[in-house]
Amino acid sequence: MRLRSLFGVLVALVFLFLSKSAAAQSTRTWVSGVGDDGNPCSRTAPCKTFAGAVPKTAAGGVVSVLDPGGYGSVTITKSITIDARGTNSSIVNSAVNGIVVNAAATDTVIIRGLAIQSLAGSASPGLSGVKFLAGKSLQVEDCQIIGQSVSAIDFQPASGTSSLFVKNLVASANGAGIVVGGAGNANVTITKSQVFDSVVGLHALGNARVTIHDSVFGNNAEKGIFSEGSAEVNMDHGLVSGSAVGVQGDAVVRLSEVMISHNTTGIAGAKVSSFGNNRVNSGNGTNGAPSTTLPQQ
Amino acid sequence: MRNRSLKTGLLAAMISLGSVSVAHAQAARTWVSGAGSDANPCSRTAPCQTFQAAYAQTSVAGIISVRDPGEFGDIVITHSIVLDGTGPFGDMAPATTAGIVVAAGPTDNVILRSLSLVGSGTGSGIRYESGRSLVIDDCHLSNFTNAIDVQLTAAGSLFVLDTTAVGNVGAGLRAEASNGGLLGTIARSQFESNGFGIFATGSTRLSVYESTASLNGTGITASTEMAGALADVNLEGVIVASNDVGIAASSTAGNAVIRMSKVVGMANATNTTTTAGNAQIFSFGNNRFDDVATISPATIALTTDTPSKTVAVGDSATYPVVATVSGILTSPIAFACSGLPAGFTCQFDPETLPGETSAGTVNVTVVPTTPSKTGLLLGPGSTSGHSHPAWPLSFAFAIPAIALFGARRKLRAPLACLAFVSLAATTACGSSSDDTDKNDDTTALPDGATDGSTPGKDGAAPDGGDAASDPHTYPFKVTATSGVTNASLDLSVTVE
Repeated sequence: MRLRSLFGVLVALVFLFLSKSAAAQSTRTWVSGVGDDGNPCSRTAPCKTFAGAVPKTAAGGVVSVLDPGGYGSVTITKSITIDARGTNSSIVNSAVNGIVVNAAATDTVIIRGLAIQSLAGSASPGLSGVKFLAGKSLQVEDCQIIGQSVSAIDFQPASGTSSLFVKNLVASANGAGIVVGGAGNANVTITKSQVFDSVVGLHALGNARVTIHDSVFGNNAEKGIFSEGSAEVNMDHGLVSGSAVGVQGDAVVRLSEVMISHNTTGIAGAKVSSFGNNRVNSGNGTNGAPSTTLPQQ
Repeated sequence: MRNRSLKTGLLAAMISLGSVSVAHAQAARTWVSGAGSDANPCSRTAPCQTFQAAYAQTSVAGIISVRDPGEFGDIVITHSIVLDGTGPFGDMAPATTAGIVVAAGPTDNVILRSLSLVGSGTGSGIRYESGRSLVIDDCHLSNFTNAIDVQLTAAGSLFVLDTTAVGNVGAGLRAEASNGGLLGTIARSQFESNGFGIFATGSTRLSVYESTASLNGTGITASTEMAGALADVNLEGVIVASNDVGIAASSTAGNAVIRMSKVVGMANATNTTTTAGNAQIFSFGNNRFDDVATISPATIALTTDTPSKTVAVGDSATYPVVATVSGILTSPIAFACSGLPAGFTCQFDPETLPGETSAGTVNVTVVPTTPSKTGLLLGPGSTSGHSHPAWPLSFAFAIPAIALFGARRKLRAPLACLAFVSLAATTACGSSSDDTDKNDDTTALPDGATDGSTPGKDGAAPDGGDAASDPHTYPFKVTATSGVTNASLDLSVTVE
C-alpha cells in the first residue's frame, strides 16, 4: 500500500515538475484583471499581465483579454497578437514605452483594442505608446494612445524593410503622433485614424513611404503632416486642421481629396503636390498652395 | 463555504460602515462598476459606484475605467482625466443641469470615451466651460437641451469623434466661445432629430468631417451677433438630410461663414439660407443637392496704392495690384488689361495667382511696344486727326533705327542722327517732308512747320494740330478672372 501511494506521489510530482518547467506555450493565452501571473494563462486560470502571458504564448499565438483590466507594459520579441477588443483594457505606462516590438525580420506583431495611456504632465510620463525597433510588420488596430511624452507610435526600423499598418487609431495629447522613418525602410499604411493634439501629427523621415487614407489630423500644434528627409507621404481623403502649418512638405507629399482648414498656414514647403482635388481655401490664415499639380488618370 | 462567505460579508460590511471617510491614495487608474461602492478604493477588485467618487481617487491625467455596466452619475471635472466606458459603456442619466461639466485648467486635457448620457429634456449632457482640450469619443447623448454644450470664455480645443447626439431640443452640439475662441474638429459623428444639429456662434472655428446632420430643425448653423465674432464652419463629406433647413448662415454683427465640400443635401425643406450681412455659404463646387441651394458667390477685389503712374516716353510702368478673394475659387486667377492704347501691352508677374489665394499681389507692368523715333506712341495718340500719308513709309524705314533708339539710350545721339538722316531721306521721297526742327515729335511734319512742342513729349498732336504739349494720360483697366468670377480695376498711365 505504502509503496503504491508513494509511487503515485512520485508520478504526480514528476508530472507536476514537467508541467511547470515546460512552461508549456499555448497558441492562445488569457489575461484577466483578477488573474495571476503564476497561472498557466489559460481561460480558467488566466494571467495578470501581458509581460506574464507573452512568454507563455507560442510564437504566432494570441494573448486574449478576458475582462477589463490594466495589463502593464511589455516588450515583444516574437510574432504574437494581443487582442483586447470588447473589454476595457489598457496599459498605463510611466517612464517606459507601452509596448516595445523588437522582433526578428520574419515576425509579425498585432495589437488590437488597447488603450495605452501615460500620465501626461506627471513626474515620469510614458515615453511612446508603441515603439518598434525591428520586425517584419506591426499592426495597430482599434487602439487609443494618450498622453505619451515622445510619441503615440514610434516606427523607425534601423535596417531592413518593415511594415506598419494602423487602423482606427485615436491618438490624443501625445508629444508626436505617428513618427515613421529610420535608417531602414518603413512602409506605412494608415487608415481611418485620428491624431489630435500632438506637436506634430504625422512625422515622416528617412526613407519612409506612408499612405494615409480617410484620416483626421486635428489641432496638432506645430504641424499636421510633416514630411522630410527622403520620405514620401500620400494622403487621400482626409482632414488636416488647426495647426500652425497644416502640411509641411520639405520632402514629397501628395494630396488628394484633403481639406486643409483653419491652420495658420495651410501648405508650406517646396514638395507638396496636389491632384487638383483638395480644399485648401478653407479659412487658413495663409492658404499657401501646392507647388505641383499632378494629373489624375 | 458558508462560514467563509458569512465572514467575508461581515468583514465587507464592517469595512464599508467604518471606512466611509477613509481617504484612499490616488491611483493612476480607477474603476467603477454597477455593483461598486463609493466607499471602496475604486480598484479593479473594489470598484466605486460613481464617476465623481472615482474622480477623487484618480491621479491627475489618470483614467477612470468602467468595469461593467452601470449608471455612474454626474461629474464635475477640473483637471486632466480620462473617463473610459469602452466595452460595457458608462451610462449616465444626469440628475443635475449638466451631466459632465468640464471646468479644467488651461493645461488640462480631458477625454470622455464610450459614455452614454441620457437627459430628461433639459440641461446639458457635456458642458465644456474651460480646459485646454476636450475629446469626446464614441459617446451617445440624448434628450438634453444641448447635448454637447461649449461655453468657453478662453481658448479651447474640441475633438468630437464617433459620437451621436439625438433628440435634443436645443442643439446636438452648441459651440459658443469668446476671448480666443474654439478650434474644433467633428469627425464621423451624427446629429439627428435635434432643434439644431450643429450650432456655431461667437468665435468658433469648426471642421466637420464625414458626419451627418439629419431630421433636425436646422442641420448646420453658423450665426453671429457680436462685432468681431467669427463663426467659421467647414464641411467635408457631410450628409445634410431631411432637415427643415439644411445649412444656415446668419449674422447681425460679426462674420458667419460656412464652406461646403462633398456635402450631400437631400430632402431638406430648404437646402441653404443666408441672411443679409456678413453671412456666407461658399461652395467648392462639388456638392450634391436634390434641389436648388443658395450659394454665396466668390468675389475678387482688386486694389492698388498706385492707380496712376507717370512715365517718360519709352518707359514701362509697374503697378502692384492686390487681389483679395472672398469665398472659394476653383481655378487659378488670370489677368488681362483692357482699354490700353495701341502700342502698349500688359505683362503680369506672376502670370496667374493660384485659386487657393486669399490675398495675393500681381505686378502689372504696362510696356510700350512700338516706340517712335523718339520713343513716343504712334497711332491713336494722334487725337487731332492729322495724319500724313508718308507716315507709314517713313515709319517702316525708321523702325530699325527707332528700335535701337528706344532700346539704347546711350546711343541716342548718334542713332538719332542716323535715324533722322534716314527719315529725312525717306520722307523726302514722300508727299511731305519733315521740318528742320530736329526735335520734332512726329515724323510727318512738313518742312517749314514748327512744332512748338517740347522734344520727347506729346504723342498726341501732329504738328499743325492742337499743341498738346501736355503729358497725355491713358486710362485702362486690369481685369482678374477665375471661372465665372471676375473683377476689374481702373488704372492710368501718363506719358510725358
